[in-house]
Amino acid sequence: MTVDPGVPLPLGQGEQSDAWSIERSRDEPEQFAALFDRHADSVHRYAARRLGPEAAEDLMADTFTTAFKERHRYDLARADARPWLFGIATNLIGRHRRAEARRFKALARVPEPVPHEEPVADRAVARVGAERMRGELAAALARLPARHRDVVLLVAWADLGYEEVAHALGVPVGTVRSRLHRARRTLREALGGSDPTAFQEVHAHERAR
Amino acid sequence: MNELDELRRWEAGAPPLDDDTRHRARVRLFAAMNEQPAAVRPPGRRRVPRIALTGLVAAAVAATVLVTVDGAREGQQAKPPAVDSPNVANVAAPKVLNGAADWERRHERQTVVPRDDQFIYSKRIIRETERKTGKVRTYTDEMWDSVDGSRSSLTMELGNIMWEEPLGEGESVWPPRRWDELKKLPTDPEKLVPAIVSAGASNGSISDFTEDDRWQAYFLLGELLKAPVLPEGLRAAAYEGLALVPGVKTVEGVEDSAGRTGVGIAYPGRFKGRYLIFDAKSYEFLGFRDERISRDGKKTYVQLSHTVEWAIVDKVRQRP
Repeated sequence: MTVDPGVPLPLGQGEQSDAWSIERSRDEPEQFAALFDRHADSVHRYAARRLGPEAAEDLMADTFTTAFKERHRYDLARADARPWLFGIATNLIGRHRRAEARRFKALARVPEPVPHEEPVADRAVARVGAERMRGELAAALARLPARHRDVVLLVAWADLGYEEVAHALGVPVGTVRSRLHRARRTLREALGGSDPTAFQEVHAHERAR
Repeated sequence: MNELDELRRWEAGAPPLDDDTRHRARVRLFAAMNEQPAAVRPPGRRRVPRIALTGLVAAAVAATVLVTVDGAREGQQAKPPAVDSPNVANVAAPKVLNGAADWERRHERQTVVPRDDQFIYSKRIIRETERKTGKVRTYTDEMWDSVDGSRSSLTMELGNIMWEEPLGEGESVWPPRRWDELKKLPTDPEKLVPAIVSAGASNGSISDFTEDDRWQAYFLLGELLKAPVLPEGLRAAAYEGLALVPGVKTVEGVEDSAGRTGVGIAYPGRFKGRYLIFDAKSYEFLGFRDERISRDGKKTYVQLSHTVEWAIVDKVRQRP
């Protein structure tokens, strides 16, 4: 067999909107595969960044099966289904709040600093610096209230605009703005204290838990 | 420093989606399609080639979407006299299927090899019974399938005329129609089954198959057997291959579209109401049983079908 199950749908359907595929799928269920082929990567990436690769597979698959089952409720006036899909994914992630927080706490524990007596290349130092910064981001994400985390990660990792996030979460745009503002402030503060000493304190604090 | 940009640059330990994961998720999506009765439309017995999906599994499962049974409704309705209410037996599937392979080998005739530029004509009788009322309708379907997919294929079913667009680059249908593709399929059943499941990507022997592999095997072999013309030994190998798939069971007392009672071969965990039907004594293959649900989800139909005529022809609408 030379066919590849992962190959996207043919017939130029990539040029059709998501809404078109969803509408067609109401009578021809297999048309829904076009949505999967278009968005599986981005939904998986979003889920994997939030929950890790193991949980991401289930979450991505559940997102599309849930979407498929709810396709009759989709607002066909919305050509782009990404906000809808990421909204479903985010709701599903909501069932794994504790796992997500544990994961971010684990990511906050970056590797131990390289011992001084060993020669260290500049690049390695830079990498360790970036890792520390991300460790702080992870620690801050773990501390964020879940609703704030949803908003900031839909913006940063799902690449949605404010209105799209509002649609994904079913909240007013104003709510999105205020949650995003507070989330960003928390993250900014975390990064602002990104000198190695401050990091060590956070690190020790996290490890003591 | 912009905290959002920093966040965007950070992959957070997430690897890209790999092909295996994508494949498993896609199969789960199609399984969900398969389980949802409201998704079923009439008549839809032959959408696979018409849609011309590129993915083997996608194509395979897309076809099952259209003939799903509504199991939940089954127990609430009166049994119409013409429709069987079979009991699943757990014993004799290999006996029936190996018997069918023997029958096939005894009766196999030299096959006419279709050229790529020709069409495979087939005529099927479909007897459809509405489960609730017992009302029976019989249809004759005719189809002309372009062998290499380079020309439009035609299906006339339930009085509808449907054209299948020529296949695009990288697209394929299951079962294949091109002779060279069919000839590549192993006629050793132990090799045939792994070769067709997961597009041959499922490593290892049948005994290592996952549940997904098993129902794919049942479904794909069943679809292969619908092809009227196969290379020598392949049909028998498909029967024997089915016998090797765990979970395949016999169903007693199944009636075919000609009114003959036979024994069904089913995969009850996944495909309720879908059987291949064999003569209970000679094990000659008689036909298929499927179920479909009306567009509004309120009516369930039992479909019995068998091929009554087929030929290799040069043009669409040409009959033997």
